[in-house]
Amino acid sequence: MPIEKSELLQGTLDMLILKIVALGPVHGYGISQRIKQISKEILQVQQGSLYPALHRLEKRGWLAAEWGESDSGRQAKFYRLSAKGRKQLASEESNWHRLAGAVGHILQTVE
Amino acid sequence: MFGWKSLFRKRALDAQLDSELRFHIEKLANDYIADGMAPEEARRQAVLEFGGREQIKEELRDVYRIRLLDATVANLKSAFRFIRKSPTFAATVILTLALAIGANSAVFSAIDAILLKPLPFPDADQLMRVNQYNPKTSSPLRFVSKTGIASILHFRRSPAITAKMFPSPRALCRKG
Repeated sequence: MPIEKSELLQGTLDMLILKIVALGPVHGYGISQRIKQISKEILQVQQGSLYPALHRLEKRGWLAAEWGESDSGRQAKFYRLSAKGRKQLASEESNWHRLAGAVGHILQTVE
Repeated sequence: MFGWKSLFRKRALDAQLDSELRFHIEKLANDYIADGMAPEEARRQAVLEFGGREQIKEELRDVYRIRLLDATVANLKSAFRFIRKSPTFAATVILTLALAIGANSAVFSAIDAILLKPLPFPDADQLMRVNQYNPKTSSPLRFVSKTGIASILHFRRSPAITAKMFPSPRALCRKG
């Protein structure tokens, strides 16, 4: 049975990346895999938006990156959350919950 | 600072971007192989799925490129903020710079007029000033009369010398 895929909402990719990276150091491929798995294949991130987002976040200082050995023994760039990124994630998460709650309230209004 | 660094490390950055993206493609290919695909087909499929690698690299480079205009605007802003924050210090700096630049250009224009610019005559480097000196008199007459010059020229018989009289060296300088 084909799964219906959803487009990522504008601006949510950064938050999702921060959240995944908060679980532990991970490379770009790992991030895209985890987003796919955790969302039960509903969300799929295009590499064309994932990598620019990663580098933007790194440049802003929310992610720190270093090269390390992957489980297959190849060198890979691992990203981890910085203290600044942790703060940013907290504020984006609370903002998201507020927004989602508000949208939910409106959608639940009975005519 | 970041932009400055990346300017020098452009090649290193490029190599890093490339190997980061290649790693991703290899991982994708490995997944396909694990699914039972032939290695070559898996690799082809992975490259296909990954999409335009050069395009992604270009976007990544954009992230690091210094926006020259942005940097200039930021510098100007911080300069104005600084001037408003400590006007006395700013005034001192501006005055010092103004005086230094003014003094320099004054000295240079003087040197330029006196030493560097050729005098407004043909073959200006051939100009001569002639003095005469009589050791018998106590105060020697320094200025040479027209006839005196003529006799000197006659004596030298040099065709290279053409005489043109100027009243005094000071007047000659003033003409320039």
